[in-house]
Amino acid sequence: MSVDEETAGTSTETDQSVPVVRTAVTFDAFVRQHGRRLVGLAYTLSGSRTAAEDLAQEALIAAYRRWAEVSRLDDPAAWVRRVVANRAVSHIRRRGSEAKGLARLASERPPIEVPAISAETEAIWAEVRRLPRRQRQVVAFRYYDQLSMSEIAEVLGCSKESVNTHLRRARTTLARRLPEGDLT
Amino acid sequence: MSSMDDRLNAAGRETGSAFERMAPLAVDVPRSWSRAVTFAMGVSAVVLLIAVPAVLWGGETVPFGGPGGPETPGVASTPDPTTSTTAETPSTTMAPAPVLACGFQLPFSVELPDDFDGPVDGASSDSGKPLEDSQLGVHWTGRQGSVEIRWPTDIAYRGEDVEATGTPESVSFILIGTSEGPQVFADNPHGFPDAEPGTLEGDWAENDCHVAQLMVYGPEGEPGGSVGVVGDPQSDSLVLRLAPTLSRWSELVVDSRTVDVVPDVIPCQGTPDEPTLSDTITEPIVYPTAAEALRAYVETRDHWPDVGYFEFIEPDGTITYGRPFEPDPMTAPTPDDGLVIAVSVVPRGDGWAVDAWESSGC
Repeated sequence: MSVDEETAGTSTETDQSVPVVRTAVTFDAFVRQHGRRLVGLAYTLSGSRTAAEDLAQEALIAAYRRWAEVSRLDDPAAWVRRVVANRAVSHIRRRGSEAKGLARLASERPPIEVPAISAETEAIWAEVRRLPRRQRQVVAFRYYDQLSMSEIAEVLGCSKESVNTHLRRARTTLARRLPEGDLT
Repeated sequence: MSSMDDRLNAAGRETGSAFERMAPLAVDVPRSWSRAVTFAMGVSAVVLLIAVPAVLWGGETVPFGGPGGPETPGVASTPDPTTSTTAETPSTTMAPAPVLACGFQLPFSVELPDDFDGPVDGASSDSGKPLEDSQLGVHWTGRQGSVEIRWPTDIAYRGEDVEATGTPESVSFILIGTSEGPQVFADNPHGFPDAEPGTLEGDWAENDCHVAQLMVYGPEGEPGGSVGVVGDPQSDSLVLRLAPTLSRWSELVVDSRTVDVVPDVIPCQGTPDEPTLSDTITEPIVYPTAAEALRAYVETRDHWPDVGYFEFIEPDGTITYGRPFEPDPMTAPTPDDGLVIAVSVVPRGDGWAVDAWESSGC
């Protein structure tokens, strides 16, 4: 069932203890707004065009399952980003998503068409994916999602200092591995 | 010349705008979840609690997750008093039946070696942690230790951010159900010689109850001290390999030998071009013995095992502690296959201090 057929998570409840009345965004509106970028995030972290859509799908389905709670978070997208980021760097889950993606190739629903990216950018992401797990996530959040240090710290549940450290180490490593003019 | 920061920014912007131009994503929500979410949002949580045992009390193993199932057990346990109706409440003339969030029988079978007694209802005495009221717990006990399964998992492991905890010797992991079958959440490529296999397989539901928690304890009640686990993500079964004796792995240092050259630390398996990680210690702390220096240091490192190191004494007196690579889960590891962690300890003042380390970086 596509969410286009059914809307979940609409809420008009108010919390008397909170002065600001928040209305939860509908799930399909959330998918329309964030779905494509989540696929991109999954791709930058996993490097698998086959798995990217399924990783994003799995994260969105996880959000759908508890949309009543997730939609009321200050930043539902941050929650889903974290799910994508954790799944994309998990070897087992990535393999599972790749398997599903390959299975889908033989099914009726065609896979999404992942957009073309320049060779230099592909090479940069390939090196990012060789970084340690946390550095990978921080780089993707900082440069792909354009999140601030505070936002990254919140998504990953760590301190800004820790984010800074990971980012600095990642950039140092990448600069060493990716000398300018040496990208193929 | 552009900085790495500039280049990464350019890569991020290009990738972001490329994916923004992609066709919209259509999410395939499984029908049962769709119904469950809609149902849970419109109806009191107390109804969800009651509907489950009505199905499962018959004793049949039923994969959980239909429209009457609790989407979030923790939520279901705090019903909204304004919507708790007498029509949905069990009769007060009957003894109240316990309400388990996921059901009274595991949705998979577990087979362990014959000398394991069980399953026995309740938490293993080794766990030291009682079950929640809504949690199913069973355990088996044998001379090699005990195995405990909790369903659903402890609260700490629920949600999408669950991470396996513990070192490879402290096996404490999550099984997660997928459409392909159960998968081990943590890749734990451990196993031991002369082990007897057990299997765990079954159908999996599509909500919080799709995750079960399996804990293993060694003969002295230590977490995972004598049990290794091999998960094969390509199959629908999980194989438990229980070693008859693994006392060596309960020790920090399992062997000592004099060598001319310490074995190399090798890169992660399958990624030969991946460099190893290493660093030197700039502010060493001195301990009376080399082993004490090692113990104190590994305790400061996340995910480093605190047992199973080989001691290598070099001609100049330097001591290196190495954790061997384990290429084959069914073969006893040996340092000859290379190391995954090496910690160099040198004499300093009246004692010993960690001087440097290297790891595979996996």
